[in-house]
Amino acid sequence: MANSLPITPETITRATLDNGLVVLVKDNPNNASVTLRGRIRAGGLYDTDKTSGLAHFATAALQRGTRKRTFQKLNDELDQNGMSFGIGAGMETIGFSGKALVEDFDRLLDIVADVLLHPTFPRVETEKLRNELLTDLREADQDTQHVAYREFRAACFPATHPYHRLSDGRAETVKRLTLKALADFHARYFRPEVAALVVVGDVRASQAIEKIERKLGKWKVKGAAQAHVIPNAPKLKQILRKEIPLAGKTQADIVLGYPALSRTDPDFYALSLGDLIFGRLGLYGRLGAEVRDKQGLAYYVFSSVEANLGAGPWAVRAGVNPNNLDRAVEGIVAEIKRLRSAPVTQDELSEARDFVTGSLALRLETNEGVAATLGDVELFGLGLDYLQRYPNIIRAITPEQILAVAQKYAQVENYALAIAGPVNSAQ
Amino acid sequence: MEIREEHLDNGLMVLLAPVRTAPVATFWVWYRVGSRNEVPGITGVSHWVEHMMFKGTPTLAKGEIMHLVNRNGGVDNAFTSADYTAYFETLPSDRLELALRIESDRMVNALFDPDEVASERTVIISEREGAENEPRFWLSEEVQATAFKVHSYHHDTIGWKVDLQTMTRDDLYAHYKKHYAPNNAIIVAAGDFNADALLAKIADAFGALPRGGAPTPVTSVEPPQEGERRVKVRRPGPAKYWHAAYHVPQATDPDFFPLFVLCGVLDGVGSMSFSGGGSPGRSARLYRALVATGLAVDVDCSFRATIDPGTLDVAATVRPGVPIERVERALFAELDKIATKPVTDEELDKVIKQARSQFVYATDGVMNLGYWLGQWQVVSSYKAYGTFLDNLMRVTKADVTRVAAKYLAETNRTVGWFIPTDDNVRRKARRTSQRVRR
Repeated sequence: MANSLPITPETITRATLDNGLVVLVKDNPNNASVTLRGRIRAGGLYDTDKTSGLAHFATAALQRGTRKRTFQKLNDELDQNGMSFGIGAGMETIGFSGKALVEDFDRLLDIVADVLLHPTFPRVETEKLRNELLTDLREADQDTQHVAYREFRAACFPATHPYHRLSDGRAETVKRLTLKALADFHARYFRPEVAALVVVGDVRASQAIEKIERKLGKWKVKGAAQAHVIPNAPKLKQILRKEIPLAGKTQADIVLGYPALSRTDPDFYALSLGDLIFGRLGLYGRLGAEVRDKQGLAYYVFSSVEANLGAGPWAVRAGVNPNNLDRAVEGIVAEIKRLRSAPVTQDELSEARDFVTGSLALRLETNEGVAATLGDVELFGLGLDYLQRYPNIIRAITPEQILAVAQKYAQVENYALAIAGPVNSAQ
Repeated sequence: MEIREEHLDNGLMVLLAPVRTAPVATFWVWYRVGSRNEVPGITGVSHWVEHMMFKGTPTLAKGEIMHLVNRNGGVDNAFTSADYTAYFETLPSDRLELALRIESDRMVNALFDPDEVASERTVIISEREGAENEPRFWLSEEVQATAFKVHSYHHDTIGWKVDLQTMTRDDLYAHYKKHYAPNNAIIVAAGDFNADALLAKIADAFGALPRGGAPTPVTSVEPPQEGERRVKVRRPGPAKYWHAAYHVPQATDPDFFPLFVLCGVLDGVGSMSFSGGGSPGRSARLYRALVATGLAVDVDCSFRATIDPGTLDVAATVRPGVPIERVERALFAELDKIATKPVTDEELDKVIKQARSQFVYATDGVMNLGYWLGQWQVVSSYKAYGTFLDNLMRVTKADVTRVAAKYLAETNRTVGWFIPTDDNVRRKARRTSQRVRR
């Protein structure tokens, strides 16, 4: 078995169409299917407090009817051919993905083009969607994990910052968004020059690009794309603790953290290795060893760095019995202190390094895995030789660098903490 | 693809599927034990034993397994269902021997240190409490317990809370000793390896482990249901939920494939892979009748391959403002229709095509393949891999009508309603619906 990486400048065909759309293709003859993933650099960051949820609603509405297909016809066509297609807006990118047997690749492309270029926002179907979204929001309002995370974000980022909100919006705003606002959002932000499309599967690269050119080459939008800016959030200056009691709950879910960094920040690799040691490796890293394994306080407790185009949060999440809440928070804060006070051991660091470099092969084993990685390589401008350079980048990280970034980003006296759980329990 | 079947002298079954497309391999051990093998007082014991398998052996300290796997660039996990408990490691193929070392060790040597059992008790209870935060969990647990009076599919895999509070270390250890032995296990390996060489290594690592006693067979049989059963759950929650369970036969029954098609016609073919996905069923009957008409926010038909007769479940989230009775009437009308009028050729073709695609998607990646083979070997036979699509294609329209009439009968169903008790939620629901009607 050749130990070759699936993503290198030699194995990936990357083309930019005349309209600015970037296309990346990886030919994989090993599975008779094709996976397609795309991203557009736009999303909830353009929503205001009054239009919160606009990007999310407008994007979901694209599938509810197009020039060539009603909602029902689109669904029939997907199901009759065993294909899947979905599209959704996050805060900073709009993502879409599709999957088909290789014999149906042309059909899938036709649907992708139709949905991206020619949505019609039909009233009846779009109003049904609005109701579904409102029910989703109501369910989310009673979902302890969701509420804790939402309130954490609101505390961690100032009201003027895009990350203060979640992209799905609020019921009050989603109720009021007009069909015209949805159509305007699409017309303004769905642009080929801020989009990239990845295709992985049993297709020849040159043919795939020709087909994409035929379907999406006509995609043109007047004017210039709006700037895509996500400012860095100010550091927190105190402990912001928010508790949200919810009826009928048994467990409290908590999120504790602070603003951190973007994916392209030079500190990214040191911080992501530090995060692995702190709350991920083995069973939830140091956090898991202390809070779950030793103290038995939580089924889950882990950390994650949301390093995107903008500087997202670095946060710990846990689910605990309300009686153990204070002990769990103390345990988490003690681990943050420890990460800030002494370098990680060589042993911990070598495990983290060996994991991220060794597990590359696993992440790249399926079409979906390759497509996801390739999408990130493009979005963050990492270069097609990124995976070849990656082991050296990782090997260069030292315990001292991890200590320095931990001290820079992790906080024990200034953090945001949100707790959603049983009524009368979160004191 | 060739799948090699071998049996060691101690009764261990080995299935090897060499797939040399990426430098990765996956190694699974499937034990024929799950909540199906549990009796009152120790419900949840199989799942808790699974947790204890990460808590140490004489040579692998607690927590060390996952760190070792990570250090070698791999991932691992385990899960428990009604019918099985499964463990896997997926590794770069040159590190696969680590999986053999871990799994052969904990098959017989897990310690069950009393202190570790004590600290894991709160973790297990916390896992249950996390599920309790979900209104749908309460409803499905109640429906399941009502549908099964005699058979151990009565209780959820997580177990009843009181059992989790009272079960002892000895209960756990006895369960482990009874069910974890080579003759009650199936090894599945898939990926980049030479089958002969790997088989020799498996024989080295597992061949000397002693055969265990024969685990007590599950003899209970759920008697035929003699009439509709109903259950209501009243708790705080964001919406009303509807759920019905119909008794259906096990995976080895000839009616399995017609039922699979039936569920596909109602709701599309779901994912057959470990990683999810599958048709959202928006062109299928239930979505058209319930969601497209604005009665429900979502609707779902689910049906799994099981060792003993299980259930086919239909569930819906009622749209705020709509009476749950209306959703129920519309669902029953759809189920009556499929039991009395033939499905169309187009519907049958669509299900076959969806199944064919899902099958291809489910075999992209060795992890999905290992999952597929092991799961089927537990409930029926891994050989289903070669015959699954052929069996589906043999299903006729008449078969679908016949199994619908036979199993979707009123006397065979348990119906559950989740009714929110929070007044604020109900008021908000009414306001929303009025706005929509204008």
